[in-house]
Amino acid sequence: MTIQHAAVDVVIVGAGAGGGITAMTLAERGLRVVCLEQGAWVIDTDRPHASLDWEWTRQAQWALSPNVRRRKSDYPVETDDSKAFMWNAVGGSTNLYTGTWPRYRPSDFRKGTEHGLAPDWPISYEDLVPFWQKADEDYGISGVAGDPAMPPDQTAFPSRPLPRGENGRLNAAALDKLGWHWWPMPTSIIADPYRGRPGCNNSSACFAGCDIGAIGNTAVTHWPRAIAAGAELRTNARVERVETNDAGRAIGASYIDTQTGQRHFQPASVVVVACNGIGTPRLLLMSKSERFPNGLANSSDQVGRNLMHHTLGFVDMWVDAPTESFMGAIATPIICEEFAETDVSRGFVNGITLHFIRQQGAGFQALGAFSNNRAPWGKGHHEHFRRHFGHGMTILVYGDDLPHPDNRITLSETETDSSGLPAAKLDYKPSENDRRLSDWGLERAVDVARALGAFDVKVNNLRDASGHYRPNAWHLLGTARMGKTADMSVVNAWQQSWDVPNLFIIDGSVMTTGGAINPTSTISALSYRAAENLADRFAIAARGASMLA
Amino acid sequence: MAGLDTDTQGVLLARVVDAIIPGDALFPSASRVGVSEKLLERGFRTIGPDFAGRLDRALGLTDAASDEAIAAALAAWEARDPAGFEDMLTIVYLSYYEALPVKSAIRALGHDYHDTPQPGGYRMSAFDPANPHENPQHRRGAYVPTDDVRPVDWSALGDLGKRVG
Repeated sequence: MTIQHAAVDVVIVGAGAGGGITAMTLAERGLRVVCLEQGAWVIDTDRPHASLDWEWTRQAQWALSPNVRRRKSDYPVETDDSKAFMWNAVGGSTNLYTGTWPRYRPSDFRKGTEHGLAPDWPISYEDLVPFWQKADEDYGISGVAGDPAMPPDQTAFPSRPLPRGENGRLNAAALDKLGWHWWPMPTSIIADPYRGRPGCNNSSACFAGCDIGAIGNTAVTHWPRAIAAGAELRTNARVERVETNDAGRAIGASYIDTQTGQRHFQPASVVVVACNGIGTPRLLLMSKSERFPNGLANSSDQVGRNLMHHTLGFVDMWVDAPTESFMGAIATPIICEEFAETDVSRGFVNGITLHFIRQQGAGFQALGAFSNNRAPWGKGHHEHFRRHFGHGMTILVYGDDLPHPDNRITLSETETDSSGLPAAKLDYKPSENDRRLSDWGLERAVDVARALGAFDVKVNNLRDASGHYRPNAWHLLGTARMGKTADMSVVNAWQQSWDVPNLFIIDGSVMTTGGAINPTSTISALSYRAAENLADRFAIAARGASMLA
Repeated sequence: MAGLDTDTQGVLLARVVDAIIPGDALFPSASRVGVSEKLLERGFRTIGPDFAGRLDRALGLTDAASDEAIAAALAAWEARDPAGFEDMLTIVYLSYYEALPVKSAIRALGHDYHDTPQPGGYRMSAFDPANPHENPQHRRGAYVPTDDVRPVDWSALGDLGKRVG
């Protein structure tokens, strides 16, 4: 028997960045909000960094991939094509991201105009500026204003930058020598106390989140406010369907309490899906019905398609000077946006950025950091370790991958989660443009290593021996994209489903293109914009009318 | 060899992990810091309940194997099954470098490497606005404003959208 709950204004599925911002915004505007999250709260003291075995634990129980850690709150991702990373809990994947916070650039929203291998967004850079500013304030962003590689909108940061460290200084000098752009990386990690959170203590282990709350995780930055404003958050609540009525409107969400197995139904006037670029299309496809036989909001057949991860590759380099490679927030040194815009003379469209990052603990460094340049087993082990440990730096090369309809999320026919619901199936192959872009970017990173006089350089293009590219898929974008017309997109400019107008999608799956940088700042800005619009015009949404009218 | 079922087998496994990470004047050997036991336990949990048996079969060693035979067996495994060997090696390396004596040895090299990154964190010099390698003084960098985005001609570049795997 299913437990029926009292109707609310909005039910949100997923308590990550999009869900947290939406819940806070709507509740603070007086709407009755329930959020359903299949994970639980993360207890900061459960994180591994204060344990001697922190490096092992981080690769096991705290692995970025749900397929490795296999927690009950996770669902598997059937794939041979990428290592899809996510976290299912209050705060979502902001529980274990690096907090890297650059903004998309104006041309990212106009790729249809620029080259036509991806569509234009239905909104512009300028539409998001006020919402990036809100995100910066609420997360607490550290950085330096005045970057000439970006429009002059980011005039101040709530926090001064984190320590640059030897990594930042050495690479800045190398980029000066090359005559290339560099700038301190903006991050959602605060250097000093801010809104009750302590400043970062440079512990180096941000990939498993932050024990002290210095990193902007929506479980810390947004959920306390949402709950104080009256939002109800139900954890261990795994949504299996968004339900619809005969008129084709969403009427609420059916979910399973993963602790008891009890089924529930939460009715609502408006449904918001905020489950990330894999979870959102999975839920929409699981919500198929007689009226929506191809899945909910999918008359365009675009749900699950156009998956983007970014092209990724690593260049590890080791120099004679000490680099403090085991201390400091991992991704905070600097970013180079010299090559972020399209220049077809390079042989491809779109751009790349270079991110200068740190190499974490001794075990990870002995295993070869990000390039598998491990200390050999046997007699030469300690000699290699002595030479390399504390002298390494890494350049992460991000490229803007093209959306492709065959890069997609579907439902697995063979794997299920712990509730018996179908797992997600992920297919992803880079395009010719992606490959050229990635290779070219890796060559530029090697140029930096040469400018530094590195004594050892290793490139990891994330391809296996057969040439199969298997990226670390930190970013899950594009699978319910926004567009100008209903035939080639899933949601409109207000992140409202074209097919089911009282259904909204508020997460990275709506992104039309991926940019060449980390997306959480832009996912957050989009979430503020969509949520504020929903609050402003809730009556329109509740009666199932178009926000475009 | 089937793990640590007998003293003899435990001694052989210790010799195997020491062949992977031997000791020297500063660093202890892997077996001295308990890597054998952690290898079996973590292999059991993450690779499978039959991990000890797999290890046994992969190496094919007798209790009386010489040091040279152990090294040769490891090299043969690495060549035959790189992925399986890498999984084992990952456990050995991470188990070794979490040991307190190893962390002490790293500090003896002159690195301020802590036993755990939290709760103390690391002391680093604060951002220095006067340092041009921390606070950029250059004016390099550019972007294309929204209204200036124009079509580019990539017609000579081939089928850029083709999936290539």
